[in-house]
Amino acid sequence: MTEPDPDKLLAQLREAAGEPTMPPLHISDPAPSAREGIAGKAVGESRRAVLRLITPALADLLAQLERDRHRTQAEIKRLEARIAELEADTGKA
Amino acid sequence: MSIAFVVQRYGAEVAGGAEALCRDTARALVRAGEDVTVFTTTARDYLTWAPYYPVGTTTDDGVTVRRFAVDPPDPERSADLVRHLGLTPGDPVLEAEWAKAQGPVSRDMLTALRDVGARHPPVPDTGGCLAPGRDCPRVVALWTYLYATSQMAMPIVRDRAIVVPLAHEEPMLRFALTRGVIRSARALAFMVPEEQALVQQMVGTGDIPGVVVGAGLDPTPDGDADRIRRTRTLPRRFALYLGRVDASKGVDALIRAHAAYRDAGGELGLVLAGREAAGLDIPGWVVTTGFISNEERADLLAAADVVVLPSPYESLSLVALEAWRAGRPTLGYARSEVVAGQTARSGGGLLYTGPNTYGTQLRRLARNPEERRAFGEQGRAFAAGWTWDACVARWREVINLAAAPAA
Repeated sequence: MTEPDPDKLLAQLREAAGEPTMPPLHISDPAPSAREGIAGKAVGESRRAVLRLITPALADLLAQLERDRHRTQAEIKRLEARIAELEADTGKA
Repeated sequence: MSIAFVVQRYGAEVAGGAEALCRDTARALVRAGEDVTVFTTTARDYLTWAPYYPVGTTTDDGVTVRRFAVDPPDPERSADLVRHLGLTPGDPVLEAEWAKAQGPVSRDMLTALRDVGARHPPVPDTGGCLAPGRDCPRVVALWTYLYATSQMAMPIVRDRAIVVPLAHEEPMLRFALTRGVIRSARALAFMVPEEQALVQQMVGTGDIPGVVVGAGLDPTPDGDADRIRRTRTLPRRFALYLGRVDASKGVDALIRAHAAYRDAGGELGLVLAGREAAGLDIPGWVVTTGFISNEERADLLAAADVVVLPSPYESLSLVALEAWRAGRPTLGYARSEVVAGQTARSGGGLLYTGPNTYGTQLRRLARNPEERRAFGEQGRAFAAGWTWDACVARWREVINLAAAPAA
């Protein structure tokens, strides 16, 4: 038997992942500068450099936001279930 | 029962909370009569995975340890990809590239795991193996979701896999590969209820059963405050931080908050006890100890007024449990849901939300010896429940869930 192929294993894992519970938040790469030539290139490079510099802090904030979104969603589901329960009880009475 | 653990590093010389917890749990299960084999690498360092231990099989307090060589990683590429994927997760090609660049990729370990599974497939009606025994683990526990050892082993052992995520709020938790690892498990083992809620909500675990297994505390002798004061120069009264002295553990924010507390007349000094990471600017008024022995650790706890817990990212605060066992109140950062939950359940301390409340709460604790004693006693009673016997019982529960026939 040949040895397991890491790429195939990761592809299997990706397949097993399914869809996320909510579409993930993301921050896109900075838009390229509208200027042409060296100036445009410099502006584009600067934007990328700034983003790179603040990426750890941004990723941290994004992770917190994601946590809050998921917590809120879970709380909404819990409240919906509770409302359904109370409505069913009211119906019985 | 035969149980396998898969973990990225293993050994007494390995520094790392997850790895230490894995090793302590393996040894506790063996003491309780279980048969544990650890599949791990030869590495001690988590960035380079450079070989430190020899390839082969050894035993560690009754635990069988099988070590395998790893492919060289690419830490720079891995850091670049994490930065990118932290803002834009979900690209399967980049995530796969990150997993391989970070590592540790051990083809020999994957082959060994596949061969065990192929020799002894699970019996469909029972969930057990045709020939249970040392080389046929009934279940395979993958420690942490974060490394290639777990990511690449999962498709091979998913018919008997437990995942121990040790998760906290971090960008990698949003990766598709992470969903793949966690959603493929037969059962999940968590450290505290807050970690379970985090994984359930962020990843979506559906009907995969989960158990909060927690950990145990090893017995330690009582600390001696006078002894540590004879060997080290400590402030008369102080707040103690125990752990790696690193910005990622919230230590830089702690120093800033404590400086503001001092400027406002606060009387407690600050002692940082643990290995120092490079790049942290520590002012002269802060006392640092560097690496400390277990005896010094106990002595520092006995000498401290308060133990501070500044890390925003925890899946279990063992330091909080140690502090409470020593009867010391804690002051924890409320942003860590885990620390907040542990504090609320134990009644062993107070929480702060930022520099202002850090100062207020620390002043309150410093001025109220009765309150410190009450928090300490409540914490001590809570920590008394964290025994390895209780932990092993919960592990047996999660093992049975993973080994049960598929619905």
